[in-house]
Amino acid sequence: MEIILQNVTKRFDKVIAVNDFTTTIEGGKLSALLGPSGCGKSTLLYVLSGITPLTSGKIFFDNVDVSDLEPEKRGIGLVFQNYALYPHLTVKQNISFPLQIQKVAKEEIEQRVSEMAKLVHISELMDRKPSQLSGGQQQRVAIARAMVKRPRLLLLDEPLSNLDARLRLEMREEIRRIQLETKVTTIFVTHDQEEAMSISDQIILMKSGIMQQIAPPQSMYEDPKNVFVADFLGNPQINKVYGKIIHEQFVLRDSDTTCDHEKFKGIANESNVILSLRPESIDLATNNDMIAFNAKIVDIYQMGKERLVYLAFDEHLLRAYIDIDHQLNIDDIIPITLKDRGVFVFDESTEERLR
Amino acid sequence: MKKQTLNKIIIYTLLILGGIVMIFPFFWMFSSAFKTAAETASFPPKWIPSIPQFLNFAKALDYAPFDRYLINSLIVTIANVTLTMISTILAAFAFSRLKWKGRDTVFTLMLALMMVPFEMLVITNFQTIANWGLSDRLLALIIPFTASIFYTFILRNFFMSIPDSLYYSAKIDGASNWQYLWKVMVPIAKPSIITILLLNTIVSWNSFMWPLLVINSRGNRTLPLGLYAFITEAGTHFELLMAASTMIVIPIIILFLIARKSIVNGVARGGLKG
Amino acid sequence: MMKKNILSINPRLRKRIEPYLYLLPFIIGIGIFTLYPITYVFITSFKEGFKYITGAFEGFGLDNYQYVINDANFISALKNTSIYVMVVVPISTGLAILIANLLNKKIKFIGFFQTVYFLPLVTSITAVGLAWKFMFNHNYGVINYFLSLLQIDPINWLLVPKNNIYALIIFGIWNILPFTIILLLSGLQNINEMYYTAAKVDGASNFQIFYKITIPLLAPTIGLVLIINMISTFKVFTELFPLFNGSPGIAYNLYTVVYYIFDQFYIKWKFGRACAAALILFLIIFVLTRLQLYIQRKWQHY
Repeated sequence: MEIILQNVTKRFDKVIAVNDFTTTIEGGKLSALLGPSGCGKSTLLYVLSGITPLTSGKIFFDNVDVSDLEPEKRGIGLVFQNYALYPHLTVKQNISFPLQIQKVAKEEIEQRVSEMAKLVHISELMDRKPSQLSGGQQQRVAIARAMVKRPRLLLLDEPLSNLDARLRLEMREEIRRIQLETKVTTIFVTHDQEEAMSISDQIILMKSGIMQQIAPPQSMYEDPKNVFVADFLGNPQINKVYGKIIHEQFVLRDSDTTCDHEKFKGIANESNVILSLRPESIDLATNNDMIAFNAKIVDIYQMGKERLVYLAFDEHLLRAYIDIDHQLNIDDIIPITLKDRGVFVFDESTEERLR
Repeated sequence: MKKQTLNKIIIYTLLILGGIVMIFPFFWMFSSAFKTAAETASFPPKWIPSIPQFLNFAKALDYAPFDRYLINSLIVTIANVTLTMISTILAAFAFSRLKWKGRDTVFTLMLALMMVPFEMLVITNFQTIANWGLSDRLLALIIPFTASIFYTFILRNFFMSIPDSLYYSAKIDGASNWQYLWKVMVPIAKPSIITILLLNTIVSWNSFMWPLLVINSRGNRTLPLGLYAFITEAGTHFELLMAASTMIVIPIIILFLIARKSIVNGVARGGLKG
Repeated sequence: MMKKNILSINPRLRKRIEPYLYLLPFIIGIGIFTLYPITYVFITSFKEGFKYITGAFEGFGLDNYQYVINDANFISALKNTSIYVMVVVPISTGLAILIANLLNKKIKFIGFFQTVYFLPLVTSITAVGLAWKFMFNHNYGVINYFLSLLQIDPINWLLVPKNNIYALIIFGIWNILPFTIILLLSGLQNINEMYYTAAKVDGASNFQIFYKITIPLLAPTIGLVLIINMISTFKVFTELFPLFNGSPGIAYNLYTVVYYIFDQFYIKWKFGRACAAALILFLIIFVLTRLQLYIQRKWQHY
């Protein structure tokens, strides 16, 4: 089911939680609603569900305007952050609940519930109460309960945040698997960019109620629209230095230190810019590589197959993944080259991408 | 080790002595209920009747229609408890889950009303019941007790502790407020509801002042009122009075033995209030 | 198009009305039997020469209040009630502190002891009051028998007016003890175990622990209990019926405030005066309740 948001706005008294949101979310995909806490992503999820009424704007589900539709009429399933399982009902009764409300025939309930239990792998837990389940099991039950209605849209609010690290990895694969098996249009809210990057088909990135970019994870990572998007994705965080373009050369602010790269060509002279460098875009210059600048090695962390190197670029500390084959020592001054991928130039005032 | 044993002996001795004082009136009531008239008036007192006079109970029933009183008490208590529970559940839901204009103002006003002693309301309610032509009818004992601010307050507080997400979850599943209340909230609040039912049962069963005001005819008396009237009817037959008292006290004692924890917890949370 | 409009308005209207429907049974009950009586009592207390049958009255004024505060019976009611409160509340609270501490020990049969101590909580005052009346009997009452074992002359509790209040007080203390114990016990159970452990480690004796730790930590609960019991004992009324056959003491010597109200409206049919007395009772209780709320707020951790 395709979802179209048109100028969707939600205002709480003075706070604008969702601001003039316009986008199209493709059907049949797993989409992540990503952003820092308080950015309005959960509000947007609840606006989509109908629990939170819109202030203005329109929402279409497959070209049908659902903006004023009651939540129960939108054909959605919703999984809450705390799972919201009914504590007095068994797992089976919990999953049956939506169908009983819809007065589905008994045999059909029985069949659909066991089908769901099989899908989320909880068939052996059917007679337990929620308090007798682990966090991951509760999560599965909550998903089963949301899915048993065969919703057109499945919404998950921070589905992994209440789980410990190991379970989180397991459950995020599970959510991916269930979505792929059922092909239900799914939107989940998360503040964890790694989570969003690892399982979603597309990411909708938000900041202070405003949409920043919507794109598949890899293309958002490689092609960020603005400084915020570049900053938010990637671990370790992207390196960021401020400066000016002078004669197609980047000059660090308050310094004479320069940096050379193909990407600076064609940028107007004297423009103030932000240069963002992904750690993996920084490498030791060899042979014919264009030397961007020279840097001193401050620290080296060997992490399995990777090597994180801290470099002093003038007064700035840069994080870089440098090929493990190179022999490096602390305090060495090495020539640095910048790859094409992962090097971004932004206009300082608008924070929009220039290159 | 020795000091501990001594401590325990002191504790048990004190508890037993105090316990005897506390339970003595009940012992005296039950024991006297089986005495002959002469035994009740013997000095030094006769602790245990030589031959238990089971007939005392039958005689008490002969003197006054305690079976009728019992039925009246049952009718009134069940009606009070049921009606109050319904209005309490609905109102607690409105005060906790539903959003409406003036909710908090009305709630604050209700809390303020809790301060008003029932004894003050009695004057007007007596007239209201008379004006409605309900005087001396069982309905007069039921109608004024269909709502309670206190119980509503207790239940509302419990309802507030149920996470909102359960409500929205049920909403999305298509449950109406009505379905959500009865299928989710009420089952979850079962312990609180049972406590309220028990407290209200005790208060209603023992209620004396109000029936005294509005009931005159014999056929409409409840047990406490019937017992009070029996003081004059039985004359000096103390053993019959005690037999009648026993009949009133026993059902509630049984209830207490069954549900002591729930009742005590309820009392600790705010007490028995009429 | 028209049809759709109607459908989309109706649910919204329904949604707005719905909460009030849930509230309705409660509001009707409270409105008629709590809210209305308060305004009625307030207004009637100022009506002069009010006749219940016709509803006629001569005007508004302070006549009823003037009568009530000068009425010897009311003054005696205030005095008796105050004595009753001042004696019953401290004694029952003191005893309850002791008993609650004993019942808080981790020993065997504690459930049994709790049942025994809490029994008067649930039983009808009329029924147990009769047993007490029997026990108070001058000639063959069991209380006088126990006194005789201690070489004390028999007391005529019920038939000599000056002794009436002692009987009422003893019955009152016994009656209010369970409730008081329960509140104090729950207060005790809220005290963190670590304080006791710490004190024991420091070598404090049991008495020192009780005096230096339990009592101060229990102070908020004790304060609360004192006020709650003052409010409830101030309304003493039902206890008079089994003990004195429905009269306030054997010679109308033991009026209480609530009995005075009852007497004015139910027996003498002076509604204006009854309302004035009721309003005075309300004022006293109001002050005590404010005090209770103040204590509760001051000791939030209770």
